Amino acid sequence: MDTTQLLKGVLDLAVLAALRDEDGYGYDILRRLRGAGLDEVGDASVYGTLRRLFQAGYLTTYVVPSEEGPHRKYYSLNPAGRGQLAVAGKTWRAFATTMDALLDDGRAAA
Amino acid sequence: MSTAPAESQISDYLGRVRAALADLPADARDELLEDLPDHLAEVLAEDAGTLTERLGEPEAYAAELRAAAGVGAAAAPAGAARRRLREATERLDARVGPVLGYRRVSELLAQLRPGWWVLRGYLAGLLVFAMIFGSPTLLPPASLPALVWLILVLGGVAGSVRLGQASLRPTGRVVLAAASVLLLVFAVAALNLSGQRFEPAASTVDPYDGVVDVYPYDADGHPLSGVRLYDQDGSPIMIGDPFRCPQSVPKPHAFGRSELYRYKIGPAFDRGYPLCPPTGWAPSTGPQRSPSPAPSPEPSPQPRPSPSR
Repeated sequence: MDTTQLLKGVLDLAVLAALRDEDGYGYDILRRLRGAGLDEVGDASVYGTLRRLFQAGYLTTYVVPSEEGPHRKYYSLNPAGRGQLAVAGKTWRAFATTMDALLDDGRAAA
Repeated sequence: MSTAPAESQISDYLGRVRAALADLPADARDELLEDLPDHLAEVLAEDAGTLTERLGEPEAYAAELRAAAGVGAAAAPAGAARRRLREATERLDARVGPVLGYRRVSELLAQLRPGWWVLRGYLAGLLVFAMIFGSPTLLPPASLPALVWLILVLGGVAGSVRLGQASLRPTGRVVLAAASVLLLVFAVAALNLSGQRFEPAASTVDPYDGVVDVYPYDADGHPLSGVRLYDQDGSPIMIGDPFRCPQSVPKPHAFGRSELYRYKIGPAFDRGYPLCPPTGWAPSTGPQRSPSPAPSPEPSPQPRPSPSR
């Protein structure tokens, strides 16, 4: 099954989750997601999702100057973002449970 | 990795991403791309390889960005509709072109563009002229404003041609198109006005428009009073304004020879002409000549109390 199709639906949640414990800049967040096993997540998808979540008011940003390399814009979950993470996380777990049950039933019936 | 190639690589990549998002509203696009330079610099700094190797073609990157940022969903149907419209236009373009003796209609239109620029500039000049002098004139007026007219129109044409040759951003194009439409509306209005002006003046310009009273004289130069005027159909002519007379009537009045005007109370025109006592002027050489200084609308404040000297 094409993972990118699945990713589209849950990328918001994935990005919010990646920021739960630690602020991060765009490329940092991409590495976290890939490190967690979402190998197929695209750079532009993460960047675009960050912009959209920022627009929606779930993220705040701040710039950290760096000595070598470019300045980095860090994204941070604000209270609205944490709320959204909780709600969307709950929705995802319910959905995943339903899907698990469906798959298990199907295997049992087969 | 040296800095200069990285910067040019980033600006190159960014430029192509921006171009691929050209259909978005400018502010939405700018918002979307705000952090991209820093982000691309980050990607370049942390990984070996060019941006295209790392991220794929800019156009594909733009498509993914569009989808992820949620601006693609709204743009896609509009884009499809626009594409269909463009294709239909192109078909029409190629089909009608040969009828007019061109391969495509757009070739003809392209040749007409400078003419449109001149017309647009001319109209813009007219508009400014009309705003200054209150009336649009399609040709230079005879009097002093002719020079102003010429400067405005030539300036308008020069500016319009320059604008036509300039490459504008999409926003600028929209503004220009809107301004052109307004200009054309103005032009139609101006043509209408000028058309009216070129008609025989009789219907619009009434030389007796400013007349507020009538002072009849007999052949000997004696002023008449209580004169009734009728038109060819026998309808009374009610010209002038009977209510401009001083209220302190009746009054003895000196005018050429002694006259006492008694005003009737009743329908305003019943008393005949003149409606009001003369205000101090007299025809110098007789009544054949029309009195040159028009009776002032203000009656003299001090009617002479007695028969004249």
